Amino acid sequence: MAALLLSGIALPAPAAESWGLEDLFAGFAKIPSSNARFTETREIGMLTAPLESSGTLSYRRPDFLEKRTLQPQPEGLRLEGDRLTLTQADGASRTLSVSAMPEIQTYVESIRATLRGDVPSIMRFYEVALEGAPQDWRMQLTPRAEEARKIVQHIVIAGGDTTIHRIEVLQADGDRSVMTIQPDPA
Amino acid sequence: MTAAVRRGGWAIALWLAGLIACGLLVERTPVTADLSAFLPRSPSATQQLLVDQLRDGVVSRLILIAIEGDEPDHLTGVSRDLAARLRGNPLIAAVENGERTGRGADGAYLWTNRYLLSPGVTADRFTVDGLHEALQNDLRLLQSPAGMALKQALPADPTAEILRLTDRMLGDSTGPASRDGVWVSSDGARALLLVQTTAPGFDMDAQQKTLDLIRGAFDEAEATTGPARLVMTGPAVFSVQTRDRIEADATRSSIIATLLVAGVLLLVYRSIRALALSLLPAATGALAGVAAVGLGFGTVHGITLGFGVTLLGESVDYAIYLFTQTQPGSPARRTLLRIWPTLLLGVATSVVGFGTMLFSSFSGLAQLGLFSITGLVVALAVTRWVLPVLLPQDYSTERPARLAPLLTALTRAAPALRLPLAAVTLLSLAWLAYQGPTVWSAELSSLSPISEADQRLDETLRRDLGAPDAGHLLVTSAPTVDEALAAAERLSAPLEALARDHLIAGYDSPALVLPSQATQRARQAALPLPDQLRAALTQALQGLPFRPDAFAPFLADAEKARTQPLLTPASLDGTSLKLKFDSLLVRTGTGWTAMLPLRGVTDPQALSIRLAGDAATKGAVLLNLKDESDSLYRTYRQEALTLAVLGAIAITVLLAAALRSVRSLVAAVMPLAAAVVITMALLTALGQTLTIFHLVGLLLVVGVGSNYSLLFERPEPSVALRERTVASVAIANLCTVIGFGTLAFSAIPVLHGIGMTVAVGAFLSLAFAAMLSRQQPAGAEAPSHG
Repeated sequence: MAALLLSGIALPAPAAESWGLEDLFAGFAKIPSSNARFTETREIGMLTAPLESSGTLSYRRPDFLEKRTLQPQPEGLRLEGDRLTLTQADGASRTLSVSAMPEIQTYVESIRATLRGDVPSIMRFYEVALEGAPQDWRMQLTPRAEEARKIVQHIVIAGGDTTIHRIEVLQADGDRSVMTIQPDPA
Repeated sequence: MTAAVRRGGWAIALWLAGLIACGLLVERTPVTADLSAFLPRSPSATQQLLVDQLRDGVVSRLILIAIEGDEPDHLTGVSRDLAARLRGNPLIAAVENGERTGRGADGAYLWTNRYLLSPGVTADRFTVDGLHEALQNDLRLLQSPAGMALKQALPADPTAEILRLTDRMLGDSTGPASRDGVWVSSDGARALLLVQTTAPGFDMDAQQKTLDLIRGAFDEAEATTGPARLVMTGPAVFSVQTRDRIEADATRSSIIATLLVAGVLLLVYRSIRALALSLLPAATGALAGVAAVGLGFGTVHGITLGFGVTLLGESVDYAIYLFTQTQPGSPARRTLLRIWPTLLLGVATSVVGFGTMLFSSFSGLAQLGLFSITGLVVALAVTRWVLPVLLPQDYSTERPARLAPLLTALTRAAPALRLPLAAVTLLSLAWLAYQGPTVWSAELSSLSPISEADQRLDETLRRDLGAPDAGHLLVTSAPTVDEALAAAERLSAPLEALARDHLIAGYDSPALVLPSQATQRARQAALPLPDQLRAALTQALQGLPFRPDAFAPFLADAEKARTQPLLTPASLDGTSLKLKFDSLLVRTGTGWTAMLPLRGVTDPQALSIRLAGDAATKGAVLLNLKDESDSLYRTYRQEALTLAVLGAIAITVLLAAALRSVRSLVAAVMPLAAAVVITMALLTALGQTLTIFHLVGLLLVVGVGSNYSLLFERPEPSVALRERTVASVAIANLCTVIGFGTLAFSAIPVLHGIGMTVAVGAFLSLAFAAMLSRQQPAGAEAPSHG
């Protein structure tokens, strides 16, 4: 079903005629867990300079994802199933239901569904356009939900094989964030 | 003779006029199924509050909706569609299905008035230091993982008051799960919605209209597609359902009972005319009973109706006694003269028994009492003065030949069973004593006419929705709205402390939605003048990477807030917060009461100790709704029990006065006592817990049963008459058992319980009356009683 839909969207890659989202995600689906370091740059209209932050990412099948910011101050975002816990530098934490906060869901599901290799989920939230080859691919996600589209214009995830190198988010108001990811040797 | 005829004419005329008057009254009497009719006109203020809540509280206006039986994606679509169709309808106060109506009226109210609503608004907040700290926080927020999503409000709200407000509104956000931004059950099989009706819970007709509206909207939403089903529960749904069911059951029972009783009487009399005449007193009595209740109470409760149908069982007895005991060759008037004292005494005992119920503080019980008394007295009067006029001159019934030998043999053999009866009675007493007070249901919900399956469904949906349990409330009162709000605000500090110590998870308060005027003024005063604020902001921005003009919207909004008119209850119009506010701040008597629901109470005892020891919570009352309602119910069960015992004593005294003989009295009372004890034991052994309604049923058993034992006790001048008496009692009893037996098949637990009680009890009364009657040789001289 998803494959049928995709055939219309995914541009046929020159390298491998038959390679597509299904194949890419099948690779991700085999990975039980992963850890990585990230650096993130945010360009925000209110600010005169971009904001830089860095930290670690960890993922465990099927739906655990944690983003720990270490610089400039320690902060956490932890996702388990539908529960999202935000921890601030001073230790105060706030727990939300992800599905009740579409604007946040838009961000987290893009990464989580990709890491899980979950084609139906990613198709449910986004229109997907995949281009490139297995070793060097680029996937553009456009939110389907009107509410999410008011905030996020699109998300671009780029990588090679089953490693994500870069996640770029372009917001509807022109603000943008770029996250660069290096696999953790650990 | 002509005088008699003229008297008869008057009787008929009076009867017809009464029928017409009663008919008109009944026509104008609405039927309710509102359980609160069975709640007391309460003496204490907290109990009155509880009753009001049950009648008209926010909980009574909730309809829980589930859409199930289809693909999850389709369910969420139907949920959105249905909610969109319902929103804005005057019958619907609010529809929640998880969709973010942040840009809706509620969000607009919070956003526009954030500087008057937020407890963070203090003078310190808007100094250079305060603003600098807030801006540093904003920077951190922008950097934080959720920053991209939460940044939209910052230019107009750098001090993040709106976050504070929404955080507080979200509470600990143990809301339901969602899918595509729409609430679903945890297993994803149902989409969930919560509707609050504008009509109060007790306004059944409006609730019925609302339910029909929802069904119609669902059908339209579903029109294009297939298998999704709509499921609704909630107090309003139940009360409408119950009303329909009670009406249906009462109608069905009365039709079946009437048919069966008519069949029996037709077999006995072989005359349509006699049959119609025997039903006349019962029908007139029932009509008069409803009319009396309508006059006295303004409405008649469905349960009273259902109960009243069965009154047919007792009042049809009078006509049976009259007809069956009328021998060929002696007119019915003669029979009347003969059995009149006994009939009168029988009715008097019933009236005394039910009379005690008139003093009940439950309007429902008082209704039953009034209905029964009126019905019986009218039925007796019709039997005495109207029937003889309508009977043919030479009316008599055939000797009940086929029945007589059998019945006579049975009554002769019955006394042999006295020893076993005594044994069973003692055994039953022991069983009841062993169970102690547990035979009585201790919960108000036991009066609930809702079937268990429906209650389970309701619980499931509530769990799925994570609907707050309205278990504990902190209640405080004051003469005016504003003072009540101020009183609620004074409770905030101690409640915050309780939340920090994890004695409660959170709380709600009307003052969170609308602060008192004084608090609002204090917050306005905390906002600096425009020039001061601009200067402070410019200084606070030093060294931070914000654009200098980034916060222009904030300056404008702060100035608007500083000079805006204060919020009043009217400011909430058009929001769903209005409904919340109205449910948390209610008019009670001459003043206003603020209710602060507490969430996540783990240790009620520790909580009440803490509250009692805190000077700040002086004057506030901690109310545990479940305990309170159950203790209320226990109080009234106790009252009903007391009344029943008083009734029993009054009946005994009455019989003693009338019979003027200890032996006769014992013979009359013993069968009743044994029947009551054994019926109670039997019912509890069958797994029923007894409620107030069973108590009423037992009273009725005593009322009906006293007739049997009195008739059995009567000395009869001849064997033939004795036979006729026995036959008449047996037929009367059969009719009573049929009348109440049909109720035992009702789907409403209450009606089922009463039906069982009276059918079993009445039959036992007759059997025991036969066993314990003193065998009288025919024609024996015996003291006559007047």
